[in-house]
Amino acid sequence: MSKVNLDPYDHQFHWDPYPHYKAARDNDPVYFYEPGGFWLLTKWEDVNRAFRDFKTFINTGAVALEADANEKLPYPMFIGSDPPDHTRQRKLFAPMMTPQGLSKIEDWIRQKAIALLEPHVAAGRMDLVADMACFLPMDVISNMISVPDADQDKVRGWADDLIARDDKQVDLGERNVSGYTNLAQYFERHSALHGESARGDDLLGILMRAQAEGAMSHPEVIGAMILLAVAGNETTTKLIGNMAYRLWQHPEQRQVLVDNPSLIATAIEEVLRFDGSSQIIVRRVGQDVEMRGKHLKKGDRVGLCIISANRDEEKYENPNTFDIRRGSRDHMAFGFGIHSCLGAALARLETRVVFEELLKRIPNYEIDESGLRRAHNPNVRGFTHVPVTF
Amino acid sequence: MVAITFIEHDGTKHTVDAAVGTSLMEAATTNMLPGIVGMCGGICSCATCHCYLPESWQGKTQPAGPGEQSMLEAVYEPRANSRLGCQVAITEAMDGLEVLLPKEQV
Ligand code: HEM
Ligand code: FES
Repeated sequence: MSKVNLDPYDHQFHWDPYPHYKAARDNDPVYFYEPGGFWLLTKWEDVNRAFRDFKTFINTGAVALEADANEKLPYPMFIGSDPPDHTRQRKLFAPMMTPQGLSKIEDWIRQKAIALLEPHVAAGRMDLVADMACFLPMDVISNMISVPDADQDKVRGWADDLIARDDKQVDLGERNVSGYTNLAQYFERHSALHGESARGDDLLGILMRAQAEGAMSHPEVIGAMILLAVAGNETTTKLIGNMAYRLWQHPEQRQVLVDNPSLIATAIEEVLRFDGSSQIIVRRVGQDVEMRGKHLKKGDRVGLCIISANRDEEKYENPNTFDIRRGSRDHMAFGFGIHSCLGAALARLETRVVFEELLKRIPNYEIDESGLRRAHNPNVRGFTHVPVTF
Repeated sequence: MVAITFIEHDGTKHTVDAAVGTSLMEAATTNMLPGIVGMCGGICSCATCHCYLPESWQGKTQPAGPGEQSMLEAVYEPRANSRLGCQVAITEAMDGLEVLLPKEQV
């Protein structure tokens, strides 16, 4: 057991957590993380069970891993609720978040992606995350909830504040709470501004209509806006960065995509499996349960290590081989089941459009590894800086 | 609440109470029934909520839209009466509905 050392709050850990997760799967798959006082599940089967058995592994009170999260982050986000409350809210958004529902914004996303890329093409260098990937997802989600261009940097900054963690920081700090408070105050003003008028079929219209008709309470509406701004932002940015990095590490596979852009969608599934941008999803134990000889007690916090599950050798052949043609859709990079990522089709769409436009323009980019920088959060995993030349 | 019966491939029946306005997939997954997965949580992206609606009930639901139809091309053993459970909203008129589940969800 001593060989296992999982520490999602250790900045060094984020560079290459996979060997540590493997050691945990082999030696201590239901791992108790002492500094944070919570469990970590690392096997595909266990994580999948937790996603499906939503009465034993509940979302109520499981906003974040940190013990103090519920008191410090008071607006109810539907990700932190269980059926039937959860079902009531989620179903309002699902129709517009299907691939079909999103197809009408594909051209808009493409124009945005092109506008972010083009200014750098002649220069022969850019930062794929800091100059491009960090802007696009917030642009898209802002557009869907009518946050004006002028406010986007602010909103993105607060979303960053909310998720940033110092090395070994296992509680929520002042910066995290103020990011949250700022987002909440901003969306309070935003909903006051649009509450009477917004009735369109975009996300804002859905939210404002739900509030007016009593399908969602006012605090639930604010919570949902915060959730969308945070969930729809960093994770997608980081997936684009992770994909750029893995394709650069495997130039022959990158060339396959340059020659066959229709394979980009399949390649995205492999990046999601191999190097997903969400590491750990949170649950609380709803009723005592035994797993692999460990006793999890009602109220305990549990982290579902999805990036470990996605490399489980009992589930995938050669799990540590990156193969853009693998095409497995049963990875859990977007979770699984009733809470499965509401923005999955949107994230896939954005990432596909970015790589269609990127590989067309700069198929042979070189990454300057010394310039790579990472974000640090127990959930979101990926780069803040991916400098490239071409 | 209306009663919906899900029938597994081997004939095992499960009857659940479902709220009007929720989907067939939600009725099954929130009762943790076997035979239906609902991996993507209802955003029409996984086709693991495949089910067969008896012809006699087809008129009581809205028909499959283009997104659902294209996902249905990928399911295991598609039939003329195949639907994605997440795209079928439950109405009062569905009280007593029996839904057949396929042998496998992809
Ligand atoms: C690559 C990008 C993304 C990744 C890896 C990701 C990952 C995840 C995961 C793993 C969950 C499951 C949480 C749980 O089970 O408790 C989730 C939920 C969620 N995601 Fe994403 N996400 C991404 C992009 C987005 C986008 C673009 C949106 C924008 C709308 C979004 C909105 C949400 C929401 C609202 C939930 C909560 C769903 C619920 O509780 O029913 N996500 N996401
Ligand atoms: S639940 Fe994924 S398509 Fe129906």
